[in-house]
Amino acid sequence: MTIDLSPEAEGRRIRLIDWVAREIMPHEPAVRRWLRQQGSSPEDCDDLVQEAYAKLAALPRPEQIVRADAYFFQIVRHLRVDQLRRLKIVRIESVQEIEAFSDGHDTLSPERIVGDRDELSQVLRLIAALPPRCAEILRLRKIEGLSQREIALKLGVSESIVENDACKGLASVLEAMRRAEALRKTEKGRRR
Amino acid sequence: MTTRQTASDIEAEAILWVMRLDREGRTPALSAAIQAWAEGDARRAGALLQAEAAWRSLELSAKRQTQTPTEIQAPRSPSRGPERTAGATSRRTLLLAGAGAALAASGAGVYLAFLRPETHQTATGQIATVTLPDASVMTLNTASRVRVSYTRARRTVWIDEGEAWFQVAHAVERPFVVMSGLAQVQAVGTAFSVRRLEAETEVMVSEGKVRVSMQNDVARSILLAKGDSVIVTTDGRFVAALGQPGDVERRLAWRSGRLEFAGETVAEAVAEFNRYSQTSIVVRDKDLAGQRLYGAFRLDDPAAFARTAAISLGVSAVVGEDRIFIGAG
Repeated sequence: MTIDLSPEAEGRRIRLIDWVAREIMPHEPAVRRWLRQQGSSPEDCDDLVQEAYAKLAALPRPEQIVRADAYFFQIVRHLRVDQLRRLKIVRIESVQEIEAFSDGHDTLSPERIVGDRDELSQVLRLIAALPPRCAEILRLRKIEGLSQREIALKLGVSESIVENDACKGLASVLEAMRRAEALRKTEKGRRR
Repeated sequence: MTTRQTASDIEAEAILWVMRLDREGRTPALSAAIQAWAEGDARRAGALLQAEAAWRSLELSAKRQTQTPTEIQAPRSPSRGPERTAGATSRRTLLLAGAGAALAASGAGVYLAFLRPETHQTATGQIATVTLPDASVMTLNTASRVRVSYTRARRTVWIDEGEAWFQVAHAVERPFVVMSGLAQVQAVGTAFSVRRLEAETEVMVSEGKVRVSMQNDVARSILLAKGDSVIVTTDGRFVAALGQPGDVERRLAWRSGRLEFAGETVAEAVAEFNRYSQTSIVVRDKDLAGQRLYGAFRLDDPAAFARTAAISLGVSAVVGEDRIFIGAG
């Protein structure tokens, strides 16, 4: 399989990543919630979400998609049906029931979508809970724009420590997508 | 039969790739290695996209916070004006404002401040305005360094060096507190300045009321109103600065790039000017140093100040390579 390494391809990739960060990631918690409601295990959720993002990676012009949330959701739904078929858990008729049920009950309404944009602040709440050096490394890299080497020099640590901490920080951001569903539940409880 | 890899193992691998991309850039070799890895499992390309997007989302959240200062940089004067010192902080101070509207309401901004207190710093001769996450405004004077930390319950600024003037957005449930030396200055919806000289702190109030307390004994405090000023000494006393009406606004003229004197001694005026420039002014004559000075001067032009002052005092001024002499024989 040939790899396209042209500047155009790099530009496309950067635009794709940007689009995913702005338009898709904020909805991931809602999508995961739906999957859990449908009875998917946490492992199944992780698999399905990764496969869904893999489908997005193939999009030639993502910014043309009007309702990114609905599009992502649809990908996940179809992947889930495929997964159930693969696992031979349900008979064909039941699969049709699932699809019929889904159409009525799980469309992401505008109100829910607005709510989901707040999930991005969960990212930052999680970062605030990181060990201080880890948070500082993320801050120096992403806000001050220092390179890993500059950060290592500035903090007086090795570059591998800087890299490890940055990895931890990134893992936290991804974890925030999973935790956000749990957080939402807790908040609902508190509101009562 | 090969066990299928878990999604979380794939994610860990994807994170390592993102860090390598971050460090090395999208080189052909790295792209090829990633491609080969991705072909091993349908989920891998997805995990990589997720990780790259999450890394990107950190920047997007940070930019939403916009702590971008406007620069009122003193323009270079004909004779060696203020020098610009480069450094990590000039990256922040070089950004233009105009993003004021984008500020503020974003919850992301508040949480980002949780990361660490944000440090703001000005070089000698530099004056910078910073908009804080709640739309309060902080103007930093020459050679100043402050740290800002906003939490849900409190807005705190530490003055490590120099002077700042604050215009505080009204928020009763979240007090605005400035810590400097031994003093703690609390405001609700006001405008005031705090200047730190070693461990002494001077507070001047432009609008509203502030309460100045001892950090180690907050019961000892005084309430200042518009036009009031106080110095908190190193031995923990409040010394009310005697002054004329209009003194506070006059002493805050630096915000507009001017220094205004109304009876300060030449020595005091020169000391003020020297804060703003690497070119120091030296008063040769002891009697001269004690004379009183009146007038407004651009703070970015020490040579003009020296010449004007010299004329009014009946002496001469000599502008040298890196020093200016008043009262040169």
